[in-house]
Amino acid sequence: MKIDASNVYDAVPVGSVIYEDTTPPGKPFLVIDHDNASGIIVVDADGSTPYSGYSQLNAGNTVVIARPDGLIFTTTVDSRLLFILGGNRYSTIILDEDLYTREFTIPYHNCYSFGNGVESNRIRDNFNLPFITNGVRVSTTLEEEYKEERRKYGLIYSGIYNSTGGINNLNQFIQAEKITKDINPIYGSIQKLHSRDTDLVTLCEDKVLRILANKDAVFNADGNTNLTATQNVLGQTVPFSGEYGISTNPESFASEAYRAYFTDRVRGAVMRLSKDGLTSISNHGMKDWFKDNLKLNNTAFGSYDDKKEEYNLTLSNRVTQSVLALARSKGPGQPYTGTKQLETTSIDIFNFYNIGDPIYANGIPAGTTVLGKNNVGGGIFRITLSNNVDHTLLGSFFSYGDPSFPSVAWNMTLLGGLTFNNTISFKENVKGWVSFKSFLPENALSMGNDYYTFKNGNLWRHHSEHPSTNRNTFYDPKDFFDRNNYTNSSVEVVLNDLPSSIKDFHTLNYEGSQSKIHKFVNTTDGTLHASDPYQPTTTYTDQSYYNLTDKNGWYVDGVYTDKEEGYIKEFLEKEGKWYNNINRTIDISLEKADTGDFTFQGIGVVEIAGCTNPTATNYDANATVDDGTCILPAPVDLGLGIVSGGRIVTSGCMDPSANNYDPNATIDDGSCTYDVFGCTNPLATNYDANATVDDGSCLIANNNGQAGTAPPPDNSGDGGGGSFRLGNPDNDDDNNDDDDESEIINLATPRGGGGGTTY
Amino acid sequence: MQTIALSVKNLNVSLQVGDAIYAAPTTIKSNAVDQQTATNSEPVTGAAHLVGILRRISTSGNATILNVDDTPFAPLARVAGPGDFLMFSKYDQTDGDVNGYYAKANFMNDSRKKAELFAVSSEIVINSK
Repeated sequence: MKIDASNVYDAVPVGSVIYEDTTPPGKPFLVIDHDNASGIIVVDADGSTPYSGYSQLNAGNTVVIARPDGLIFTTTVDSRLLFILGGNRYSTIILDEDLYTREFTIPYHNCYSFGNGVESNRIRDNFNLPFITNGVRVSTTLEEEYKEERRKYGLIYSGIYNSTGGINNLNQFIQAEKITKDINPIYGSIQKLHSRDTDLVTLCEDKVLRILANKDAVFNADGNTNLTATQNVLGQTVPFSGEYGISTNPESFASEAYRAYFTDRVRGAVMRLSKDGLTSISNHGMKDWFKDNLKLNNTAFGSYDDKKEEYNLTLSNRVTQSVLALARSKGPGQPYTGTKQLETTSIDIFNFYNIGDPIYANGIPAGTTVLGKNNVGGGIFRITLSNNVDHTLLGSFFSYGDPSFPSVAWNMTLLGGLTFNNTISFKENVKGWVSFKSFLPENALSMGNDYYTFKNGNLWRHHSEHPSTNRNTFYDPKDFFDRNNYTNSSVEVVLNDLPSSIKDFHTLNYEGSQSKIHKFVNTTDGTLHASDPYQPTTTYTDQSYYNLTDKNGWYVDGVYTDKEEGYIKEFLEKEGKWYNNINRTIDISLEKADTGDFTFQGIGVVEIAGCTNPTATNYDANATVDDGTCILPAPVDLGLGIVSGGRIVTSGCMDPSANNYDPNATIDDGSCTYDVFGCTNPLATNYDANATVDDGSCLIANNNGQAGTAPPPDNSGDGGGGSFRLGNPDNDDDNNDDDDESEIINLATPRGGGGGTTY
Repeated sequence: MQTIALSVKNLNVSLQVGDAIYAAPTTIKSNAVDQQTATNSEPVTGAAHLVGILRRISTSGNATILNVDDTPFAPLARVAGPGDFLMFSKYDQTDGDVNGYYAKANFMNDSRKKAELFAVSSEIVINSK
C-alpha cells in the first residue's frame, strides 16, 4: 500500500496518535484532519495549539502511529510544514508513502505462537476443540438479495420454544412449511395481536378479526361451519361485525377477562370487544366528546384498573419540538464538552418551559431544571439548563456557529406545546363514563388487585388506604405536565328539577364530609363593615367558632344557571349536613355587561339638556330636552301691545274659568276675577252678601210658618222659569210627595216661551 | 362624575342611587372602527358598556338628570353621549338568589384526606310556569 491523497484517510484516520519512536517515546500528537494531498494535520495530543514552545516532528524522524482501531505501525516522516490559523499553530506532516515495508501490530490474532516455531489454530490449543475460524459459510444461491421486510398485512411464525425441553427454534423460519398468514390489505395494517382463548384476535387499522389457532373452519354445503383440528397453526380468519378498527393506536388496547377495550381514532369511537362482539362504548353519553377529542390526540393509552373495574383511557397530544444541544471545544481537534445551552427556533417550546421547570430528554441528566431563557435574536431562542448536556448519549453531531470557535450541535427532541390531555374512565357495571381523572400515566398495569401507573420513571400505587397517603396527589416528585403535583377533586352537579319552570335557587346543600372553611379575618381597616360605625381601635369578630381556623374540604367553585351566576363562600354544618345560601354574582366589569341579569333594565335615551325656547336669550339649538333654564327678555309696552321676546302680545285674563276670561290674551296680566256662588236674595234667611251668583239655595219663610225657598230671580233672560223649594225637602227617600215635606218643582218651560207658571 | 339628561316622563321606578349604569350606542358613526357595520345605514345597538355608579337623580324643567360617578372605572368607563341607550343593573344590592331553569354547581375538594359526597340538594321556589 502506498499512501496518497485517496487513502491517507484510511491509513492514518482522524484520532490517530503519532509520536517519535524514541526511548522514552516522544511527545504525542493527535491527527485532526488531512489536507488535499497526502498530508496529515496534527496538533498536541491534549488538543492545545500553543504558539510558542511548540515541539515538532521533523523530516527523517521515525514515528509510531497508533490508530483508533488499535492498529500500530512504524514509519518515517518525509516532510513537515508549519502553518498558523486563527492564532494557533498546526503542522502538516507527509509520511513515507511505502507502508507495505513497515511492521504492523494488529489488534487481533488468529493463532497462537509458542515462540519455538509451533503454532496452533485450535482454541486454547486444546485437543478436539474447535478451530479458530470464521465458521461454515452459507453456500446457497438466491435470485434476490436478502433484505428486511416489514409485513403490515400478514403474520409469519417461527419454530417453537420450549423452556423446559431445551427447544428454542424461535430463529427458525422454514419456508418449506406453511408459516405465513396473510390478512386482506383492505383492513389496514395489523396493529395489535391479542390471544383470547384459542383464538388470535387481530386488530387492524380498520377491522377487528379473529384468527383460529390450531383449528380451522370447515363449511358444509348448507353454509354451516364446523371447527376441526388442522395442521395449520393459524387457520380461518373470521372478522367481527362492525366497521371498526384500532386505527394506529395499539396503546389504547386493554383487556380484562373476556373483554377488550380500544379506541378507533379515525371513527371517533371507543370500542369494547366482548362475547357480544364489538360495541361502541363511547355512545354511552360521550359520543360527541370523543368524536371531538380523539382526533386531536397523538396517543390514546388504555389500561384496566382491576380494583375499581374501570377502563382508564388517557388521551394526550404531546407535541415534540426540535432543539439543538450545543457543545464546544477548546480548539480544533480537541474533544467537545457539552454545555448547558439548548437552542431552538420554536417559540412554542420556548414559551412552554418556565424557569425552574424540570426538563426531561435523552442526554439531559435527571434533575435538570431550566435556569434561564433568552431570545438571542434571528428567530433563535436559548434555554439554559442547570446541568451540562451529556453529549455522549446524543449520537451524531455537526459543526455549528463560528468556525473560529469550534462548536458542534446535536439534534434533540423535547416535549413541548402540550395542548390537551385527559384521563377518562369507563365503568362496566354502570355502563357509562364515570369520571375524568387528573393522573396522566405513561404506562399502567393491574397486579395483585392493585393498580399501578408509571410516569417519568415514577411508579404510583393507586387506591392506597394508608393514612399517610395524600389524596389527589400522584407521582412524587413533581410531575412534568401536572406541574402543581396536586389536583383538587371536582364533581359537577346539575340541579334540574321541574325543568320547564323558571326557579329561584335559594340554597345549596350537601351531605358529605367537611366543608372548606375560611378563617375569619378580624376587621382592621373597616372595609368589611363600611356601613357600620367602624372604630379603628376596635377588633371586630363574628363571634363564631367554626371559622377560627382554615379547613380544607368541599367548596363550590361557582353556581351557574342558564340566566345568572352565583357563589357560595363556604358551607355551614347543621346536624351533619352542610348548608348555605347562594349569593348572586353581578358583573359590573367594563367590557361585559350582564344583560341577561334580571335586574338589568332600560332607562331611556340620553338627551341634550338645555333651553329649547327660541325666544329665550340662552336658547340652545342642540338641546333636545328643556331643562327649565330658559331666560326670557323683559316685556316692553309699545302702545300696540306689550312686546315681549320680539312679539306683540295682548294682556288680559287667560284663565278660562274666570268670569273675565279673554280668549285673545297672549299674556296673563293677573286681572282674572271669579264668581262666588250663594244666596243673593236679601229676603232669604241664608242671604250671602259676598255671593255674586245665586245658586238657588235661598230659604224664605211661607204662610204656615214653614220655611220655603223663594224662586231666584230669573237672570237668564229666556223667559223660562226656574225652580224653587217648598217646605222641607223630601228627605226620606220614599219617592212620595209627603205634605210635610218640601219638594223641588221644575218650573222650566221650553226656552223661548213667554213667562212661566208661578205657584 | 358624568351628568346625563333624559326626557323620560315616567322614570323606571326601580332605578336607585347606587345602581350600575350602562350605555349602549344606538348608532354607528362614520368613523367607527368596524367599517363593515358602519356601512349599514340601519341604526345598530352596540354592546352595553359600563358608565359608572348612579349617585343622584334630579329633575330640571322637563329633563331628568342623572349624576353618575365614573371615577372608579376611569378612564375606561364609557362617556354616555346623546343617542346612547341607558340601562342599569342592581349591582350588589339585590338578594342572593340565582334564577334560571337549571343550575350547575361545581363542587371541589382541596383536602388531601379522604372525602365523601353523598347527595346535593337545593331549595328552590318556582317563579313562573
